[in-house]
Amino acid sequence: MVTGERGSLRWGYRPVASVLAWSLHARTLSGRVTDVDTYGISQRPLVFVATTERKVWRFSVLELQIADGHLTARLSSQET
Amino acid sequence: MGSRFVRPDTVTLTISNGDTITVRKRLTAGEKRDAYGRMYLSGADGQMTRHPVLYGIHLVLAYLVDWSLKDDDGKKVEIAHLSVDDLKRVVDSLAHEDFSEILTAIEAHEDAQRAERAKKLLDGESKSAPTSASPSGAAGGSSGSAS
Repeated sequence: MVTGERGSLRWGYRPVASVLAWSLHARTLSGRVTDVDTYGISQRPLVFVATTERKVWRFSVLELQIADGHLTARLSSQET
Repeated sequence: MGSRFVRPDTVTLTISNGDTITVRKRLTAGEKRDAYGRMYLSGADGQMTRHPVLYGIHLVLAYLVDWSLKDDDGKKVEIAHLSVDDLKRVVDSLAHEDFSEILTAIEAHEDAQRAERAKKLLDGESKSAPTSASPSGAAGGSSGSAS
């Protein structure tokens, strides 16, 4: 499992949501979601981006659910 | 007619020495308002004038998405996912003439996009002219049924 404090969902270059306290396990991303651009997050394709000290992670979002400020998403197996 | 929303499309511009910059093709209303709020000053007469110092940096920050620029070790300087404040710190580290070259390229891109939009609007007006300008219909000459 990989975890991080902050990541974002992007439509192209445009951030459409912040993902806080995220974890990634078996291609499933979970985390708290804030700063949601409701128009942008309805568009496709979306990419999850998280920056660590060593690298920038970028995964395509295949499926996405948001409920009560909590996000669950299935990500691509390969980084984009 | 296409969507009135701006897609996050980008354009790659080539500058000197084979370097490239990737810029937003168009700004959204919000991006333009944020940028123009920093780029322009409101005079006592209500006229907007370019900020003499900050116009350039805020135009660059509004458009710049990525670039190919490398540091002294030949490693690409990553800017793709930086916040505006962090991006400004990196851009402010450029030599002045290199910053000016990027600014000039972005100004040319903005001018080209503005000209393209104006052409599309004109084309759209000329195509819709027969239905939007209907003096005979307004006068009642061709309206009504012919029973």
